[in-house]
Amino acid sequence: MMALSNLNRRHFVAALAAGGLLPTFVVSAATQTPTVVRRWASGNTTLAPLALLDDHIFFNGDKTLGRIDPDNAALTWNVPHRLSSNAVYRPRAAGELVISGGQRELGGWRQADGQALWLHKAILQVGTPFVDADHTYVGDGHWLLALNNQSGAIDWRFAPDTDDCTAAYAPTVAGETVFFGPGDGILYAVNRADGKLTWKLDEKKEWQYVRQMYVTGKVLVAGTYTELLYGINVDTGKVLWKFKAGNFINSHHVSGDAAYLWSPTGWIYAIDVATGKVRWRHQTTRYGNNAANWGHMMAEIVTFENQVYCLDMKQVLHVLDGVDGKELLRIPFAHDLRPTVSPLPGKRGVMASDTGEVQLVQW
Amino acid sequence: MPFSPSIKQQFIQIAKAGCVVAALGFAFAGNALAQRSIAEQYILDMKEGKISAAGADDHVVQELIIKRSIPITYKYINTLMNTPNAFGPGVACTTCHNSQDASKSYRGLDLSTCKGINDGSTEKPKRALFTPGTDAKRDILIRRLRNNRMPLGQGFENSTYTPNHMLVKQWIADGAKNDDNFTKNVLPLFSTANAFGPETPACTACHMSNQEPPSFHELNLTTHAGILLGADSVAKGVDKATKVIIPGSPEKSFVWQHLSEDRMPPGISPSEARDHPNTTILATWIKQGAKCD
Repeated sequence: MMALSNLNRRHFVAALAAGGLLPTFVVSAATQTPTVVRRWASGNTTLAPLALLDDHIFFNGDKTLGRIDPDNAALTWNVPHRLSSNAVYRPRAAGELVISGGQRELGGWRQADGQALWLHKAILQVGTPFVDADHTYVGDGHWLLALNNQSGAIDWRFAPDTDDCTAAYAPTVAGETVFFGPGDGILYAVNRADGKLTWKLDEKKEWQYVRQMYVTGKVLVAGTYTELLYGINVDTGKVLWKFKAGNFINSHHVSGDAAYLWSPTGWIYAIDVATGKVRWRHQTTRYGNNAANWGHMMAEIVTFENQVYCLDMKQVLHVLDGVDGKELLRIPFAHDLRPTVSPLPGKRGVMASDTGEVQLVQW
Repeated sequence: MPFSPSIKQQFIQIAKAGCVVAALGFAFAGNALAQRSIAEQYILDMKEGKISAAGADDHVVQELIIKRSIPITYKYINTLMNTPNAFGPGVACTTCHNSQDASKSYRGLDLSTCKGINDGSTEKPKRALFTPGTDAKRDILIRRLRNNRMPLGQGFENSTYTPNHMLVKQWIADGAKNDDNFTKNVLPLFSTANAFGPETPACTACHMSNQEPPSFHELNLTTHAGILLGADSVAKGVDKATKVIIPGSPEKSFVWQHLSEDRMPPGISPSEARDHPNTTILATWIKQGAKCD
């Protein structure tokens, strides 16, 4: 009787699991309560995902664009972006520039002080950009534009085979090639210097458009609408592998030789970029077992120091071992968060509240 | 030395014959090309590196059957309908749909015969399951095998006839207007947890905006304009977004379909991939005309 009274719920659940009576994923990893050690009011009602660049945080939202030094209680700067609609993607930076925008405009600001430098107004609809040292590559309607980072002028434009598409997702760059998947079922590789076509891959039987693209080594890892992840040779356009997630892929992340994604079938996958094979998978959801399930995954998965950070929609940050996918830590938040997480050294991270606050969190 | 007329004539005849032989040769070659066996074509594709990369659950079906236009027989479809787990874990389709007698078979749907499959549901409102010869992905037979009910993870034991469900259905039936009824009674449902099932997040938890990373299916259920705009509006563009509401027609509206239709077979988990190889084969049979021979 005494033994039973001492058997708290956690022990009871652990005992069931040890006896094989519960699925292993029910067993919680260690839980760590987070502490918000610093807060910055951004002046926005809705923040887009944050960007962590050279140890500084950049944020934008419905009203402003700003910069934060995590070691400083005051905002470095915070300026009205004066876009005619919300800034909807995380800021990008290159050199002395930070890029922000929405569907109607895209602009360049000076990183040092937030001085507005130029504004590109949409020809039709501006997509999400990729930024390198000299250019900002972005879809506008069906075109791919190369905007000069110094002036915002269009240095070249590339038109796909049809104008009956909308290039919403970011291009990416590898070496001297820009990759572009505008929505006509074709992936275009164009010359970085002049926008001339190098090769194209017609896969319209499989996808309509490409969501996110990342290059690692010689492999372009492209997420497609709706549920296929592709590994493509960057030089030739040859499809190296395909991975079907069983349901649509909202976003994916690539780090080193692995790609990470969450599938609504209830699994986080780590995919070997060289082969497309599943390196490990971690079950997040066993449908019908709501109490034990993670929330769905809205935030992009992030990797940091060989660990995989997954913020679910129950406001729990899960930390997995990058090697085997084992859950190491759960960090439950008591308040609602925007779908973004930026891990920092020393068991810290930067989060965004749903009230427009940027938060430095310790766990 | 000039040829005599007779010899010349013989040359001409020989030449003509040669042309005929050559033509016949080309014809035979062309015929051989047209009649190359499936196996020969497959070997040729292998040699030319035209076999697509593996990865998808239905890769085998796509590569070996659909790409080569192999006719799907009703005999195989009949086997599927009578086989447990044919489309994912669950009972055979004909367990519940085996007669046009609606007192014995759900919806008076007989999936045990080819005619029954083609006839569809015979109970009012009568409804065909697909249009033979067309892509059936959005038609009810294939959609019930692929689409998970929303909110994700809802079991068939949770009613689809709750007052909240009926409010949405009636709003669509009445024209999906942006009126007081919508603002006060319908819109708040999408942002309320447990509105359409126990222990479920609000619809807007996943479908709240067009943003990076995108709201699921880039669908914004927080405003009337967002709902009427539809899904995938960022990538497809506003004009080509997938409409999720068809004013006046709940049954054609994806929002209502996803709220009210359980994925088959009953109890199948959303963990199961949507494109089961047999579902792909069934859709191919329909596209090939849903023939009974």
